[in-house]
Amino acid sequence: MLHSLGGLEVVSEAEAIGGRLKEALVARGLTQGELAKRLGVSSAAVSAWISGAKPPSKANLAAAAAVLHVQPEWLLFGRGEGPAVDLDAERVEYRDQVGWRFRPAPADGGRDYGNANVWAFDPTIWVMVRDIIQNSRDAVLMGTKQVQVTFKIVRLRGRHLQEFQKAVAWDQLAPHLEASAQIDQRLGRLIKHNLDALAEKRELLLLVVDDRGTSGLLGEEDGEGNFAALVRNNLDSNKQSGTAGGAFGLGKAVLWRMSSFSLVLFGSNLSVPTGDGLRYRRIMGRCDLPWHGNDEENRFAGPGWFGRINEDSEHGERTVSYWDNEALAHDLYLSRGEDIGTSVCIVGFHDPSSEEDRTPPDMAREIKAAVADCFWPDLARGQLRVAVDIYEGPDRISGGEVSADEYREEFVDAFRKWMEDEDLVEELKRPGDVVAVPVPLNYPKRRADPTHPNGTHEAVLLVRYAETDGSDHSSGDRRLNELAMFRGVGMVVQYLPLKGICMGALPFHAALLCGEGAARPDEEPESASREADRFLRTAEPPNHDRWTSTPDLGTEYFRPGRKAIDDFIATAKDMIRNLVRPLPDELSDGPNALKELLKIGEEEDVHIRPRIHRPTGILRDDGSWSVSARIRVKPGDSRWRVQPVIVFEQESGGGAVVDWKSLEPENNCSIDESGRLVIAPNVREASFKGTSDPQSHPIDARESSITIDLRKCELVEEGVRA
Amino acid sequence: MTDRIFPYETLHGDVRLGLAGGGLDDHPWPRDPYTQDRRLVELYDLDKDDWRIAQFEMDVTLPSDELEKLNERGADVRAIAVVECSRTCYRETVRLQPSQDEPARWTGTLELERANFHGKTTVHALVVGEIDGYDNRFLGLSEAWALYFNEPDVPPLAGTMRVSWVDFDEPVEELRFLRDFREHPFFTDLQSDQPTLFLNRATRFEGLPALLDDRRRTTGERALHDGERVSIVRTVWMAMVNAAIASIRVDDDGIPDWPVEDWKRAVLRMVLARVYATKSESELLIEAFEAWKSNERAGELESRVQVAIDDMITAGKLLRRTLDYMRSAQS
Repeated sequence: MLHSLGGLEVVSEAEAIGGRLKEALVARGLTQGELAKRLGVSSAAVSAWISGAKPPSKANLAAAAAVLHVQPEWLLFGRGEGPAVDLDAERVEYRDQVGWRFRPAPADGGRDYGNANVWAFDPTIWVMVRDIIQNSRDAVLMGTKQVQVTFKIVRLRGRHLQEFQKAVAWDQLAPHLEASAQIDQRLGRLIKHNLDALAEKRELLLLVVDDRGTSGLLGEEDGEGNFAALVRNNLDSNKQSGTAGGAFGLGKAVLWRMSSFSLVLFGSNLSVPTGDGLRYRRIMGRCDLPWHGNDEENRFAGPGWFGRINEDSEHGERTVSYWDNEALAHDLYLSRGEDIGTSVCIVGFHDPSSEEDRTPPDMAREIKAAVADCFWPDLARGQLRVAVDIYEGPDRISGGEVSADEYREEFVDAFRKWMEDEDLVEELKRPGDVVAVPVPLNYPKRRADPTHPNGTHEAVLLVRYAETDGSDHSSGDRRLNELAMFRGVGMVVQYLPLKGICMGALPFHAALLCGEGAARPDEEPESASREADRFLRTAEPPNHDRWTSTPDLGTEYFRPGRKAIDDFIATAKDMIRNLVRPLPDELSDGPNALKELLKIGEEEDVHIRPRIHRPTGILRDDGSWSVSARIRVKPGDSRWRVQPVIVFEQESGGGAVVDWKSLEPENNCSIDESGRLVIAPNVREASFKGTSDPQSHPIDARESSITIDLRKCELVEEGVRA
Repeated sequence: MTDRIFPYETLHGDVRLGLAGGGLDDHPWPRDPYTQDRRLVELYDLDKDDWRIAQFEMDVTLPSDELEKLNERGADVRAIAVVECSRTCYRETVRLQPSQDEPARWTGTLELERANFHGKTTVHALVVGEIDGYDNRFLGLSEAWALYFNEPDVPPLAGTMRVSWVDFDEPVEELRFLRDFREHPFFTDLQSDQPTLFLNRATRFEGLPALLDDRRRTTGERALHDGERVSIVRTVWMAMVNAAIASIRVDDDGIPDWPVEDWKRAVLRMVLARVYATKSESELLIEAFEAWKSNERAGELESRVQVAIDDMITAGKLLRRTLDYMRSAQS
């Protein structure tokens, strides 16, 4: 879990066999050289088997199985009897080798009172859950259809507490915690309070999060790779996948914030072995303390690491990952067998946003609700499964899988109807109705790849007519009248509250499916969807909680990036407004029977009089207007007599009518002795042209606009001829 | 807009004005006031009463090819936002700034002080330039946005008069005046900003809701239902038309102008277009106003208005239906 490596290869069969050989060797306490000797092969051959470069022959495999006290099928397929691990022996082994090392204070005497990233977050369970699962989603192995995440809240008391503290070398850590607690600064005070509470209650909570189907903590001790990014470095997101959620590396800070002692342990099985062929039970811990020191000799910059104490010429003495010790993984509640992925153990788990101490069942409920709230699209698509369990020491007490339907039933219902393309309707008539409409997103051109054009993506807007009992006291829990927005990752980026979107609106739940999230499960996303997904991801700030102007958006895309997003969301809101807008009869409670007869405002054209259509005009050199126009008529048996006029427009009032120098009928009309046009019966259109008399102009024709109007319109009595 | 003809070439393509963003007194909107597709901004009922200044981000775009041609002629094209409020006679213009990135785009911020406005206010973009030596010539106009500082006369999205059931014996405090009409089945309130028909649901008129409400009816009930609703609606329309005609304004030259309130203008346009089917808009307003003032012709106008109203409320059709019912009931 936590941070992906792009372009991963799924573990090959030879690698899998190598991994198990290694495991069995460790379990028997043999080296590669010893195995080679017993089998009568070269050390290089055994090394090649273990690294996965070359699988052993059938004969060698059977011989190795015998030496290692495992069944050949286990070596070959991972089935059947594996190595019986002697936990006690392993325990003895690791206790001599693990410990804590803290970074010495810098020579310049600078004091860093904590990792600022830790405080950059609103520390709630909701934020933590969102971040943890988001990172698991980002680290998903190629070809994996489903990510599984398990949250375990473990309460340690009595013997279990002592054993845990012994495993984590608490005696080495405690002096550092106590020294930090002396510092009267935010993190120092927090640690003091929590140390006091631990001493008083003799109880410690762990939150262990396991994921499966993810890459594991890859890479060497330092440098590139998500292991170093997560455990060693600050502000390093190490994200390479184009659609990964995090972009700043801030997200991980929340893990330490949820620990009473700023202490987080990691255990991982890797999808790709390290350069040394190491792969299973990678254990390391990090404690993010502020600058601390008890005396002149022992001053520390802040962070410390738990693992194997190692000394080499390049780094001197320091801690590195501890590999392949099942007892250590077990004792730290990080045991995960051979499942690829990562386990995180937050030591002294608490909810920093709560004044009160919260009980495990209470926090478990909040975790479930947060999972469903943020990830219902992924849960509904079956791409994510999450369980939340409660443990007393190693014993599971209660728990179960998170169901999106339980917490976000309405959104999931709408989403399913859309995924299955069934039961969608055109307009919202009764509660439960779901409408799906496309919403265009015009994403701009990328700077990074100027050949890549801007384009239009069709997002999908789902609006569901909500069932309500008339009260909205529960609306906060149910996110009534809110718009959930998400893209391919399947995490809701933001809920936009739209209560009062228009007067008397129908109650609703809405979802905006963007980018790759707008493709149905069996559809391959179009390239515009992928581009839109990338664009929206770039518009997500470190918290991934909205789409807005980010520094990256400015550097990666041509303008107008922000406007494209604003327009997109505004369009979606307009569409929702149109869908939930009350029918006129719901506006006031009076009977429709009256209201339908009291419509005020625009109605269809009731005028029967002839109208000017498509007038044109040219100003001539002599200062006169030369105009022509058509007249539209409702066809009938009678003739219309009309007086066309040229009107010089004025700022207010009706304008000034000027005289004709000439007025000529063209089609379907004639001129009578009074100078009016008489339109032939049963025609739809007539036309005329004319010239104005400049003498009658109130001002220079170049200084005014004109209109052409018909005045004195009347129906000619039968028998009267033009 | 009418088809105006200019003594020079104007923009043929659309001038588009966008309003978005902004907020109240330098804070974000407490609730979204925009209905973008109708170019509508609702500034009443914002969940905040004591605001002073509303801000908006404006955005004007033109067809870029046409703009290029104008610029080649040295037109020095500019975009101006024009704010007008007929109730307060307020008019303001704001010059927009050309965008650095896009040639055919202007942007600007609009700040409207609440005290200057009441009811509906319009904002449109005007594009001007220098043509043939004349500066500030009209080149194009956008569609107008409607900003409602107070609740509109007629809900802009519903387009029908408010009709409400109230117990006239025990009205809420703000409808206290209805107590004076407790002996009546309904009251048409045209005094307040929103014309409303109040129906009396006091026990005195116990059967009235059943008579008027929407449900299936037997033939006899249907006849009564139609008869009663036509009678009520006819009275309401007549009252509205009278109120609207009385609100026709006269300028210094004695030329009548449309009433200020939107609903009155709408009512007059609807009714007078039927009364004076052959007249142009300016003609029919003058005609109606003259007739209304005149001793001899006022009665004729009243009669013709009644006919127009019956036409609008399809009274004839409803009566024929009632007669049909009665005939079939007898046979």
